[in-house]
Amino acid sequence: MSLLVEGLFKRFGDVPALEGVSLAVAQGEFVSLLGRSGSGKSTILRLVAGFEAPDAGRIAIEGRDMAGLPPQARPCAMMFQSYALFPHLSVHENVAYGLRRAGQYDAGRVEELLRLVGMAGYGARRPAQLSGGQQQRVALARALARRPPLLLLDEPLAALDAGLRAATGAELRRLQRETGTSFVLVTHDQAEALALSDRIVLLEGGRIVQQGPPAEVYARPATRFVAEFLGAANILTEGGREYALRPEDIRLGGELPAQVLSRQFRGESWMLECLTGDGRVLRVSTPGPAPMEGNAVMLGWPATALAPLS
Amino acid sequence: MTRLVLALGLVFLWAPVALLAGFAFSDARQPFLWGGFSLRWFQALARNERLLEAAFLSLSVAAGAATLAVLAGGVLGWVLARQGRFAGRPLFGALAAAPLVLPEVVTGLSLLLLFVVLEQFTGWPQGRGVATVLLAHASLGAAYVGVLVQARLAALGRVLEDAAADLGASPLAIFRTVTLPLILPSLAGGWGLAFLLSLDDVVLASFTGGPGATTLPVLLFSQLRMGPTPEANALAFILLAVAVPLGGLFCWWRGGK
Repeated sequence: MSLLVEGLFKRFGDVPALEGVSLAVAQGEFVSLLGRSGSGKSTILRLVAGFEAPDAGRIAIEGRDMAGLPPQARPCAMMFQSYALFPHLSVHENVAYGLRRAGQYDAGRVEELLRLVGMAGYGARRPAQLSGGQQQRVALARALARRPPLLLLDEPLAALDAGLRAATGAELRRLQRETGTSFVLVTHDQAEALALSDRIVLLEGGRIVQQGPPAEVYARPATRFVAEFLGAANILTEGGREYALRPEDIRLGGELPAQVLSRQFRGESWMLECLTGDGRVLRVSTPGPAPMEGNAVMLGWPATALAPLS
Repeated sequence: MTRLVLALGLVFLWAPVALLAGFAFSDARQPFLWGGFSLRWFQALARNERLLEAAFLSLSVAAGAATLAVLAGGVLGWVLARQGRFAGRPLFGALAAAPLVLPEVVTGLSLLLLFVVLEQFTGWPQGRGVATVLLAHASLGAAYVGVLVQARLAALGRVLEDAAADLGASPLAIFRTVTLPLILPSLAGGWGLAFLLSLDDVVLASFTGGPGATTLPVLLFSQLRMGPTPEANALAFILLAVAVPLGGLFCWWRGGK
């Protein structure tokens, strides 16, 4: 196990941040912690990195217990949301910082890291002379310099333009594969978590509500919160139980009569809002051609598309 | 309109200074009468050992006090910004900032009392002199440096220090390679501020000074009662000739950043 967290509790003053979180990350795995702000996801990273001490619980990295160890002595590395590049040092010296502290400075290794993140030739610049995306790459090279077995990433894409985000995410994924490093990424962006991770862990109110491979969690959300947080979901009540039904699982041409209330063009599909004969409003995603507003339609879905919620 | 206001403001600020510099070259005995161009007061200044000694003493005390203020104020600012919530922190912060708001007469008198009481109980300092003026100026300067450093550290936040720790830097290495370089501009600015505060202080120096510790402002102030001579103008002109280019250089350097 690259990272093992057991029964983690933490409160700040009277505010509980974590209420019994247990988590395991395998060697070379890419895990995303997904949740709204205040869900405790960033607190987990800060506890693992050693910036805060847990009130209760155990953290082990590479099988070694981390209790009482300061950040300096922990084998993991952290990439900060603001990148936290040293403004008074050049790009080269920023990347070399950890190597120098360990007495392992090697100019060739720094150049290799800058090449790895596509920043070769920028060594002499200051962080202030770089764009946000370039700063992000330098921060990544700096965090990877000492070949940490575990990299913690705090909202690494949040500060980038929407256009850069997808490409940079793919780049992160490639680097993670190439270096074999375990990644634990914190994000509030469900699309980012679904696209990049081997496994996503959903947090709500300091507790883990569900975890698993992205496709599985998306198709089988365990709670209403998960269903609504990951993409769009219709919540149906049948026989006293709640079920989640994804808009793309509903097809036009079933047995349930309905009327189109509104339609929105999403580029690759249309999103319809339909009022069914029994008075429910369902969202339906269809590749088109989409019926006009006010049109009568028939809706249907396979029984397997219904995900029971607890 | 704004240009007119700006021009008036500049005249208001600089006209007295220009007058003072101009009268340094006047041949008259009164420093506010024009008696034709002359360099006699510069020559007189070169022979006036009391004035020159006071000027040299003032510069030395200012440099010493500013250096002490940076050391003490730097630690003060760091403790206030980084040591978090220790018992009595609000009180400590208020006490540290007190010299900024207390009237100088009060500070001066209290320092005088402190020195007298200290002498009674420990035998040090023996009377008032250069050392007591220097300590008084350093304590005032330290309050200013402390505020500057605290504000800078608060604005920087902890994330850079956290990043350094995460990259394996020991607390000492973090201070040396991250904290110190980042607060260096504040320390330099604080040094300059403490230097200037000391250089033009009359009140604290009058209270805590003694025989043999007559700084330039104190000497000029005492001469005022007997009627000043244009020697003081000449000295002021020389100080201006040094200070204005230095100030200009500092502004240019700050502007370039």
